[in-house]
Amino acid sequence: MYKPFESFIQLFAFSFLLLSCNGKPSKWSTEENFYTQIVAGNSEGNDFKVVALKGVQDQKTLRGQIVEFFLSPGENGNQLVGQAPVARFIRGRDGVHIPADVLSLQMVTLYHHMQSLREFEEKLSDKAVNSWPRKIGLRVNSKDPSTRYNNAFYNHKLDTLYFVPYTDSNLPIPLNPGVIAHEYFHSYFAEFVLKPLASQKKVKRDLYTEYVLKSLNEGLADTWGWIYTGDPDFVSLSLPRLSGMRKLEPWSIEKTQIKSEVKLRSETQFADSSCEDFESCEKPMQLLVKEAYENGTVIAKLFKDIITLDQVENRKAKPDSQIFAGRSILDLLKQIKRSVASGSLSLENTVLIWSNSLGKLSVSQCESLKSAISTDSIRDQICTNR
Amino acid sequence: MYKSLVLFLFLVQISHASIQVWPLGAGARFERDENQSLTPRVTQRFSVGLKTESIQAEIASDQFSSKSSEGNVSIKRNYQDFTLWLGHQFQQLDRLNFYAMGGLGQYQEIIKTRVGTLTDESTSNSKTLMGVGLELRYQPFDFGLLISSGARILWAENFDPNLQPDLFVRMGFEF
Repeated sequence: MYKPFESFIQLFAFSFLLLSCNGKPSKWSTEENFYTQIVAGNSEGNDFKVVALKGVQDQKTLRGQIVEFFLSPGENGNQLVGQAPVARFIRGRDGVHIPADVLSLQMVTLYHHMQSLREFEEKLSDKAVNSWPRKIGLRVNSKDPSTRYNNAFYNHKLDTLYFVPYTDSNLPIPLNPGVIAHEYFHSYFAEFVLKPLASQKKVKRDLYTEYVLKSLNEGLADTWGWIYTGDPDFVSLSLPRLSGMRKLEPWSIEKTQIKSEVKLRSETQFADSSCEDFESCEKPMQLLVKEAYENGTVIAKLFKDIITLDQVENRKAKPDSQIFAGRSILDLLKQIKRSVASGSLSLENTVLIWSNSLGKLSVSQCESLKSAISTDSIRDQICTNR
Repeated sequence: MYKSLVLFLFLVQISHASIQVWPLGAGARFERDENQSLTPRVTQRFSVGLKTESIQAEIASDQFSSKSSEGNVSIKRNYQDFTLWLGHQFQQLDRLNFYAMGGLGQYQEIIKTRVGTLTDESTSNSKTLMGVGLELRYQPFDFGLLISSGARILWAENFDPNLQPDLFVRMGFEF
């Protein structure tokens, strides 16, 4: 006698057998690297790249030894508060986790770059500079209208990288390796300069000092972005309207020189006296932010030129040149702190200190450096040890 | 999966069961979104089945897609599963039939990533899917029109949440 129920059970069991034998890769475990696909973007174009993320402890939140993510976090005093975003992946036959939405793609891309920046840091310094995992806020709701969209910034009070929503039509900022490295550098500046200065109550932090420190912070961060990516135009990948202003073109004598201390102080005095004339001006530094970025770009162009000349003339391999440049900048940060403490801080003086730390310079390097300095007494000290 | 389909059709041949076709079906799968809250994915559902007096078997396909984008990056995710469902009619009230069911199947996802002019398409390996649920069927006329609604709980290796709630409504015909 035909028994349909039994047939169904047999069919069910047979199907289960078929399903069980599909040869899929074993489930990912936290002891393994997390293989995933990111977007590798530079001025020459974008590409997909499979990378191994180390120390991932949770596939869903991508929490790991390198990064802890927060979605639209808030601040509660000195605490960062917020929930972790949920990442979604599919796993292909090759075991690679493919991000299934844009937020997940941003998370794996950021994790990868933080991991690479950490590896780079380990080559520069015997001691770890930053604490790990790094905290990163995604889709941050910024109260400041100027940073509400299409921006990223470092909150040194909370030691956190913030990425706000991206509404332009180019590469989103959380996928831009140069901007990630730029923002990451701000944590070095905070660690080596801002935090030690904040703890020294005797050190004067006037508007001039704030202005010069902001200029150096942005300029050296742009240099770091270039050192990390090798791309002199990384900002324009996400923000093409800033390409002219922020592109680290080869230094040429026609370009603006580094502003002298006299010029910087005069701009500071002007901002100080003009702030009250502008309704939207809450503090004079607001009027100097644009200039600080411009000053920073001039510094970054000069540094890039000197580093490139060093690489070309001494036939250095790119990684060696990156390490040489990275070490010289980290050392410079400690000197900047001393300059503030001694009251000798200026952009030109900072360039002089940096150039003296590089050892023997070539004729073309010395010419580039001298052409950037307008103050005679400082220019005369460039390359005196040649 | 095609082997299961062949077996299923073979079973139709040897049994005295009626065939059901459900060409119109829609549902909602509740997945965890990036904010950790549950968000519905609207599914399309098609199924064919075989029904005896109190037992039914059917093969169903559910699919949905979701898209996210920011800047020049967009990611489209297409989900599709094929599941064999076995149901047992445990209650009948006039034209209303109540079924309890269990299912076993496979699902696959395809991710299409676009960055500017660059594209990538990746397909997941097939994963096992299981589920249990309840279904209420209504036969409004004497001829074979069927309307049904149900709720299921699904389990699969990569689902989040896991178990995943699923609601559906559908219309079909019985021959």
